[in-house]
Order: sequence, then structure tokens, then C-alpha cells
Amino acid sequence: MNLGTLAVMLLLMAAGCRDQGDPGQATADAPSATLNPDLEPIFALISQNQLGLARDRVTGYLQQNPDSGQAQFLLGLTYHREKRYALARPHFAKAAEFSPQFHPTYHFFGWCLYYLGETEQARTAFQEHLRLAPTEGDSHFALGLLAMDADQLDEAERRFRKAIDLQSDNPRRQRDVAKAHARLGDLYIRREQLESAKIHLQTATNLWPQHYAAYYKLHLVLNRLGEPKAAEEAFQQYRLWQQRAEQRRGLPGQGR
Amino acid sequence: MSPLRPCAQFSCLAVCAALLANCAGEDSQAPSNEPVLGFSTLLGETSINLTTTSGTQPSTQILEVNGGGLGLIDFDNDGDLDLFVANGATLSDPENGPGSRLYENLGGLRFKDVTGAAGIHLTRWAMGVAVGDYDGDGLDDLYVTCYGPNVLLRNDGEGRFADVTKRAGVGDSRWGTSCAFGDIDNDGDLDLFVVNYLEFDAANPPGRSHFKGVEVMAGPHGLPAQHDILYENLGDGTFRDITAAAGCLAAQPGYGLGVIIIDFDADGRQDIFVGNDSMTNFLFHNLGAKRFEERGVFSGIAANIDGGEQATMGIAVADVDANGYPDLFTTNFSSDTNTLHLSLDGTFFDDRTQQFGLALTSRPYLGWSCGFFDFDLDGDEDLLMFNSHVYPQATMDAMDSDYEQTPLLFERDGGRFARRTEPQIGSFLNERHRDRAAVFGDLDHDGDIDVIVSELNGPIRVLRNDHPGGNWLSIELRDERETSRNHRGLGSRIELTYPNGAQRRWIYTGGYQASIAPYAHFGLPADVIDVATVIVWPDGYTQRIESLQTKTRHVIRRQ
Repeated sequence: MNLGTLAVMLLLMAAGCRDQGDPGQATADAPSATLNPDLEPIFALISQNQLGLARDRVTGYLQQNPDSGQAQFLLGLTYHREKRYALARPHFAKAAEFSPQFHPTYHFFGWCLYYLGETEQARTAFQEHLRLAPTEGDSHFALGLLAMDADQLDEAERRFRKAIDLQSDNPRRQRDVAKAHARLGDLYIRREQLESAKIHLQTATNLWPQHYAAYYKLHLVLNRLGEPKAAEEAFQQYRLWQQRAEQRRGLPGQGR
Repeated sequence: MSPLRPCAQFSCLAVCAALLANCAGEDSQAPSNEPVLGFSTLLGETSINLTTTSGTQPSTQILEVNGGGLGLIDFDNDGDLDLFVANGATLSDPENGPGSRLYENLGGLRFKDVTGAAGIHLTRWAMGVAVGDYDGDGLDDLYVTCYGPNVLLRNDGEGRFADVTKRAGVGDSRWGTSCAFGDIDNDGDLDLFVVNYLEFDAANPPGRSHFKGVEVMAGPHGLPAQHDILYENLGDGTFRDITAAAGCLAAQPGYGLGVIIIDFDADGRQDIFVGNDSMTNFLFHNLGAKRFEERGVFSGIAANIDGGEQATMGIAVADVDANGYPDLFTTNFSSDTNTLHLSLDGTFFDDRTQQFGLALTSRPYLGWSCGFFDFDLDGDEDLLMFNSHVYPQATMDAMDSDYEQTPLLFERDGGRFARRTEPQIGSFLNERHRDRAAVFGDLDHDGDIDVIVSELNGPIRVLRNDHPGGNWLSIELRDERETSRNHRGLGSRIELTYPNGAQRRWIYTGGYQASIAPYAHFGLPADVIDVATVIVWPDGYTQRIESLQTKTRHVIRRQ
């Protein structure tokens, strides 16, 4: 694995994207960021989901290099991959402090803060990421979600469309484009423009047929539009792909 | 029973309104036009000296985490709200806990434990409470769900309750959580819906599970879910289980935790919403003739905006978007958001949690009881919810959520809700607890809404609303026709109109294991001196009243 650049590092960010509940392997290119070669094996462990081992290694590295922002970033990334955002947060904060030009930190920091419900700080992190890496579509997508949360629909639409524009030509980013279309569907539902919502949701499911959340929204829209047969088909697709996603994740035996 | 106090007496005028203007007694203060949000916590001074029991602390099994419910009931018909506390027990002896309690409201937010005098001896592990006059004798009765057979306690009017469960036929022995009364067949009496959770054997509890990599108690997944029960009131003091006949078994068994009964689509028939844990919620749409159709998924209310199945606990009702239909707010698990479903037209719902500013801020919280009330008397409803994790192992580091949590108070601010955290709201709301059930009502007759909240294996606290005296009005309904036994008009809708404003409320008593005050309370702009009122009774009958005076508790009788 060539890790001279972090061209694939942002691929991991899908793990933080709540859009589908279906985090998977990254698929896309991203603005490059150079990773210290000494840390490449640790990043490889993270990519292979060997998070405990990666954590041990990077902790050892930090004992020798306590001011390494990139090592702090990787340590935060191990928790982020486990969706333990409160634990990830201080490491991303230190990463930003020690290596302020290392832009992937801000992206993951933004998602981490988003999931902790700290919307203003999340917005600041994503904006900083875009200042350093202005072509990263997923940070526009995240800012669109934050705008939706703030009921700023015009801003949300601008961000989602920017996310689409930046990623639509990249065949490895079609899932991200689908997510943005699904959120445009939400936005048009909010505006009571159901035909437009339907178009974006159908686009989302065409681009990424496993997008069960988009199917769920589509079935609601179709019901409201008086298209019960198509709504039922969308609902069956939702059930199918949701159950497959649950199977991939592993259903809880006796828990949540 | 306490003697009737002057400010609790009602006289029937043309519209049967009891005018009790400024009946605030010793608590009255100078009126203020400024919205004020703040509560004082009352503990020992209320004389509710109960530490609730719900297994051991910290909890080790899922049976121990729900806590006991609360019910506001004017059992002595003296015009104020008394309190019933459903208390739990322990895993080693679930039939013999310290017992549920009944407290008489003495006025001035002081209470007296009258459990023994009332003849209540309920030591079984109790959970939820429904308050309603099941036999139509003008006295509110109590239905209590339990881990073990549920119990119906009939109010005899002499300050005592009799266990009539067996005769009434409502002693289902599964683990019941929430319950609610409502007239689902428009025959004038109160039917009963009981929400069941899951199969759990206290003598042989399940093993452990994992959450976010931490070993925790098992459930709900992996433990068999239970069907809910719909009982038809036969009008002779007995009920009949019509769950299957009514179509309510068509839904899969659910991990039910909350319920409300109201008419969602204004068709003159009461519908039933059931909040389920870690699965889709149910909306039993009333088709008439004692038939229901489960429309949760179809309507959009079963899941969140992404089709995510949530862990629904608390339920609150309000017309948030002022379109005339009841909207539903539900509290959920941590690392998820609470959810506000707007009713678009009575049939379809849309998750608008983000639009109203209630989404991301709730992610670190795990919510229980909640309520929409105009706490600051400014003419719109605010939102208060109580929180705490189910897992004692919960910390921010371990689960992105702490075990003990602060309540969340949101003030309605134009088109959004704004979280309030400043010290003026009261220390309780900025402190962490293990809160569970809560009930809301004007307990001291000063015109604002107070709160009683129960802490898991902790105290019962009274939160006195410290509003210095704004503009308000409350309406209590009475249906005293011979053919009616729903004498409080449960399921009614009340609409107020005044210059530049209108508000709407529904009379219901469900929620999370609780039974709130069975009347409608309205905060009003300072310059409103009277309002026009429309009451839509549960069967759709509409009653109009041209003018009702503000700062008054009204009792309106059906004409």
C-alpha cells in the first residue's frame, strides 16, 4: 500500500457518516496529505480494522514522539472507527494543535463533534478542512447536514449540490453522491416539493441500490403522492437492504 | 379526605365555568409580562419521603432500569391533583417490594402519605399508571401495570381503593409497562390499552451482552417481545380482551414502553400510538367498529427520517406546527436523536426534528418522560424531558453518554426550540440524576405547570414552577350525561382563539408509565383577557364557547 500520500485516508471517513448506517470501505480519492512513513504500518492496521493493535502501536510511538500530531490523529482514528467519539475527540484536538496543516484531522474531528452533538464546533472543523482541502466533497456534505439541523435549507442545498458536483465524475464516489441526493430528497420533503424529492431519492437509489434509508424516504414520498404500488416496492427494497446491512454488521445477540 | 378549599370549588355558570381568577393563595406574586423559565426543587418539604425501589443500584438486569411510574389523580375530588407512585421491588422477591404509594395533595405543594388509609397494598413490582374512571361513577380509578399481574384499583369515593382486578378481568401477568384509558369504541366508557415489554424470568435472568464494546445487561434484543393488550370496557365493571378481534395482533410483538390514545386524524375515533424499544413504533389507526389497522410504517411515524428503528421511551403531544393535528415527540436512546414527527394531515407524519432544533443536541442523552407545556406562560409550548442511561457502565468515554444525566429544557423560540441552561432555570435542571417517569400539572393552583419526577432508586422530587404570575387559563372537561362514563372527556381536543393567536390541546393521560393532569393548560400573551373556545369531544361532538376569562380554571360541562 502506497501511503506516501494520504490519498486513501479520507476513504475511511465513511465510517463516520451517519447517512446510511452502513459504513464500509472507502472508495474515493481525496486531496493528498503526507503521512510520516513511520506511521504507515499503523495506518495499515487501522485500514485492516486491527484497531487494538494499531492503538498499542501508536501509543508506543507517542511515548517516543509526544508532539506528533499525525500519531494523535491515528490514535483518534482508532476510536473513531469504533464510534467512540468522546475518546477520539481529545486526540483529534491535539492533532490539530500539533499539526495544524494536516487537513484530514479536521474532517474526522468534524464528524466526531457532529456525533457528540456539538454542532458549532463541528461546523468550524469542517470549514477548516475545506479551507485546507477545498475540493473535499464530504465536508460540504457534512456542512449541508449541519445546515439542515439549523433549518438553513438554502445553505444546505448549496452544500449538497457542491458535494455532488465535486464527486459525481468520480466512479469511486457514487455512494457519496447518492447520499447527497438522498439529503436533497429530505430537503425537498421539508419544502413540500414531493416530486422533486422523489427524483432525488430515485437518483440516490439508482446510484447506490443498497441505500435503504433512501428507499424508506422514497416509500413515504410515494405514499403521499398516491402511488401505493411503487411505494410498496420501495418499502420492500428498504427492508431487503436494511436486513442485509444488519446481517453484515451482526445483529446483537442479547442487547442493542 | 381533605375538606374542599375555597379555591378548589367550582360553580356551574352558563358554560359551567368555574371562575377562580387569581386563586393563587399565598404563593401569588405580582404579575409579570416577561416569560420566565425556572423551577425550584422541593424534596423534604413536600413530605414525599420516598426513595423508590427498582431492584438494586446499580442495575444489573433490564427489569431494573425502567423505574416506577407516576400518576396524577384527584382521588378525593377536592379539585387538586394527588399523586400515585408505582414502586418496584427486587429481583430476589419481585412480589414483595416496599409498595406503591398514594399521596394526598394538602395544598401548598405539601403531600401526605395516605396509602394505608386508602387501603392500597400493592407490593408487587409496579411499573406504569393509568388514571381514569373506568366504572363511570365520577371517581378516578387506578390501573397499574406490573412485572406480574396488573392491578385495577377502584376508587370507592370514601378515600379507599379496592382491588377489583379479578372481577374486571384485567390482571394480565406479563411484564406491563405503560397503559392508558380511552374510549376507543365511542360507547361512552373508558377502554384500556396495556403495553407489554418482554419475557423476563427474574429467577433465571439472562446473561450478559455488549454495547460499544462494554459488557452490559442483556436485552431487549434476544429476549422475546410481547404483544400488547386492548381491553374493551363492557360497561358492567368488566373488560374483555379484544386485541385479536380488533386487529392489534396483526402487528408483530413489540418491546413496548410507551402509549397514548388520541384521535390523530380528527375522524371522531381514538387512535393508539405505541412507542417500542429498539424497533418500529405502532400506530393503530381506528377504523371504527372496534377494528384497528397498524399504520406505523405507512404513516411515517414508525421510524426516524432514515427509517431507523429507535428505542422510544417518552411521548409528548402538541400541535407544534399549528396545523390542527397532533404532533408527536419521542425520546430515544443515546447516540441517536430524539424525534419530532409532525402530523402533516392526520394521516402522514414527517420527521422534522432537525427543523425545530431538537436533533443533534440530544445525541449524548437517553430520554425518558417528556412533556410539552407552556412553562413560561408566553403563549407557546416548551419542552421538558428527563434523561439517564440504562447502563450503569455508561460514561462519555465508554459510550459517548453518561449514566446520570441532566434534564433537557427547550423553550419555544419562534419556529425553533432553544435549549435553556442558565442558572435561573433552577439547579435541578443543570444537575445529573437517574430520572425516569414524570408528571405535569398545576399542583399548587398558581396558574403555571409544576412537575413531579421520579429518580431510579432515588427520591421523588417536586419541581415548583417559579413563574411570578403570567397569563394563563386551564380547562377541565366534564361529561355528566347519563350515557357517558368518560366523565373527564379523555381524548377531547380543545381549541382556543384570541386576537392574533390560537392554541390547541388534547386531553390524554398516557406517555411513559405515567398519567399526567387530565386537563388542558394554556399560557397566553399578556394582553389577552378572554378567549373563544371550541371543544371537540372524543366522539366528534363540537361545543363552542364564545368567551372564557383568562387567569381562571374553568370546568366545562358537555351540553
